[in-house]
Amino acid sequence: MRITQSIISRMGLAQIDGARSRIVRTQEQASTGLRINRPSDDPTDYRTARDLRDAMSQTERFQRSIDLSRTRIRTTENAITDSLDLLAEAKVAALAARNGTAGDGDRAARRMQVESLFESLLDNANRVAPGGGYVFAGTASDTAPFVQTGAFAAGSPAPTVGFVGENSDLEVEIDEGVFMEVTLDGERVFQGGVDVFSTVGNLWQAIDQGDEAAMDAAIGELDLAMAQLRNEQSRIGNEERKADKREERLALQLQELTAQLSSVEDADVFEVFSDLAAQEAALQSSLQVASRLLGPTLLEFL
Amino acid sequence: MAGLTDAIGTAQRGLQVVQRRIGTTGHNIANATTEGFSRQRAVLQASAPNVDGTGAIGTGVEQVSVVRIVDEFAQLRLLSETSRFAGLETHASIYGGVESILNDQLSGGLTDELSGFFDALDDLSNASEPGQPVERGALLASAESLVDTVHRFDERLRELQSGADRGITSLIPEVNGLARQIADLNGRIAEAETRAPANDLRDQRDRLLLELAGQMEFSTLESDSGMISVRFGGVALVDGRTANELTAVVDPGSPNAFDPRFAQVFFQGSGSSFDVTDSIRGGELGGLIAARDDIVGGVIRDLDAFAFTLAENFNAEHRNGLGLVDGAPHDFFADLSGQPNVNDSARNLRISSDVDPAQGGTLDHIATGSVPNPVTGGPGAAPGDLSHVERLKDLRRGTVPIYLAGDATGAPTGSTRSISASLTQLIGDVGQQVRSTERSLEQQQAVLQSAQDRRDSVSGVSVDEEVAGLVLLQTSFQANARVISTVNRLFDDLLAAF
Repeated sequence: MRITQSIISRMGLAQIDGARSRIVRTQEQASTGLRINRPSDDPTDYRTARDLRDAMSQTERFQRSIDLSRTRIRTTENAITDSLDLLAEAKVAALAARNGTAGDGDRAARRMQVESLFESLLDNANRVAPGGGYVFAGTASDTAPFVQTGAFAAGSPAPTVGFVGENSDLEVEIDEGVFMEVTLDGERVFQGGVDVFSTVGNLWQAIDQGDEAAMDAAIGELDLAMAQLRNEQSRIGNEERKADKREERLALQLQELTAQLSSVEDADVFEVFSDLAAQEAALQSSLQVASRLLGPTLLEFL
Repeated sequence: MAGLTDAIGTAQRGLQVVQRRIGTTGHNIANATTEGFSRQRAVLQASAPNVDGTGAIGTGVEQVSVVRIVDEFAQLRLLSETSRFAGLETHASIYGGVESILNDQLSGGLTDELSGFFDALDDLSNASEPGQPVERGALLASAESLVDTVHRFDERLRELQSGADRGITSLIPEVNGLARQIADLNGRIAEAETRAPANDLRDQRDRLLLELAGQMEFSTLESDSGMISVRFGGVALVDGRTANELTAVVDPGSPNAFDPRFAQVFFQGSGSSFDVTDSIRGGELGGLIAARDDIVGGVIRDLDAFAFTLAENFNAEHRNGLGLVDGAPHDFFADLSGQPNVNDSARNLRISSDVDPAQGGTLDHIATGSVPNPVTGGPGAAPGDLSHVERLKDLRRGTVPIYLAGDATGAPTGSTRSISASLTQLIGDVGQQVRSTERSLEQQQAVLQSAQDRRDSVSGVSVDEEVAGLVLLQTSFQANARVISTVNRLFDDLLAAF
């Protein structure tokens, strides 16, 4: 082939251009630390990276769900625990009132105590989560689920409490297809097998009337009521343990996904820098060769 | 005696030819770096001999003509490879623009917005406050941000497209100018070549043809008179001394398929005018036409299909749920099903007026529940009923019928997959196209370079070669001069004898 100056200069320029554009690519990888800076850098791995990011953000969302749901679980759990304490206190009061030595004044004091226990119990059953919403109202979370009818008055029957909420345990998703109960059906908790309010009401009436047989019956009912609440307490406790387990699993999963994403889209730093060094050397030699070849012609030797 | 006189004449012609050849060599060296110059060579032959009884005595050399050294095939190949390269280069630059708009590897991309929207749904499903006013507001805000991003991408793609459209319109006068100059040179070459090869005019015309090849693909045909006709798509842009015109016009009779406001390229022949837009391939002009109508247009339509898929599927599920206020089904995104097909959905995507307080709706219409409030009897869902949000959340990963570009409403032709997977597919496909275009461009660059090298190898000036020739010519000049001085001495000797 006949070689002319224009061919030499074109070849030299093309090599220099090529070397420069390779350096630009490598430089970008070095500065962003990413092997894939745009989809065209590696369309297949771009899709893999996207899927991984998607899975990561999903995992993070589940972690957030668990975090957010803890307040409601705790509120539910605390309300039940507090109610259990109240029932235990009621039982102590009942036993004291049952004691034959108690005088009239003493009985009145016991009655007042049970009245206030009843009210506290109602407060617990109508407890609101810190973010808002009655935890025992099911989906009707905007209205207090338990409503008292009547008032305490010596000589008359104890007031009653009715459930006006909705019967469901609210659930949130904490992993793909895994749901966790964050609130419990109030009617089942407080008025399921045993109506906690009428149990305490009956106790109040027995103390009011000094009816010892009724007191005994009320004490028996209190035990049943406490068993029912303990059941619900362990139910919500299990949900919280489930959340703890999931949280660990999700953290592991996130770690794994991060590692995978890094292996797909991160640039290998050592490789990038050694590439950069090699490409710089190539550019320099292209420049040197071009400058040497373009200079001489036959004229210099005549 | 006649012999000696003839010898002087022979040497003198030799000197004249050497001088002319030095002229040609000088011309070559002077044009060594002139773009498109083809080296020239004097064509010599031995002049007619004097024939007498003793035989034919040579009368020296004569220059028949000066020709340029060209390889017509290499020239044609250079034209077509130049067109292809310029076309690919335009594609690559447009694709690069599309990719940088859609690129979501860094941040602020459409995928991030889409997952932000589903994240907001997620937060809604975790809300404990009755009626979730905060989370509903946040969901609306993230939906607005998603819609805005779709609009912004659509606008930027359309700007890229109108840029290509303006490019097409501005290239047409350039093409017409080149065609006129080529036609003009055709005339001058035909006239000049009645006397001698018009080497430099031909070089000029080749250079113009190469420039035209950078604008579009065409075929050439040279007539016996040396005139070149330039043809594409069955019409002659240049025919002998006549150049026909191209015009970029917006003609309602032949509208652009994507946007009737875009210009189509018309060929203005003698008395007739017709649309040749689809016949223009390669070159910057062909590249821009493909970029406007196919590349950017295609991505805009893909984005339309994505917007339509999102709105249709989300609305369908949303209508199944209940808001807080009434039992009527509400749309979340403005209903697009009145459109005949998915086209323009990206720019038409909006939040439904039902759920947007700014449009007179209420956030309470966001369908969170599945059954009428059992406590109040409805018709709206209970304020803590978020069971339907789970159904809506499922759309993030659940598979739905996917619309593809150009699909008719109600007839999606894509495979069923998740909405976000369809978005990743869209952007990944663009990446794939960018990559393969870049690869083709690299290859084409090598092919073009080899075509240029081939042309230069034949027609380019080698200074070494010219200098070597000059040395030979110098010797030749000296030798011819020596013949004259020798003959002169012979005459002197002869005269001295008398």
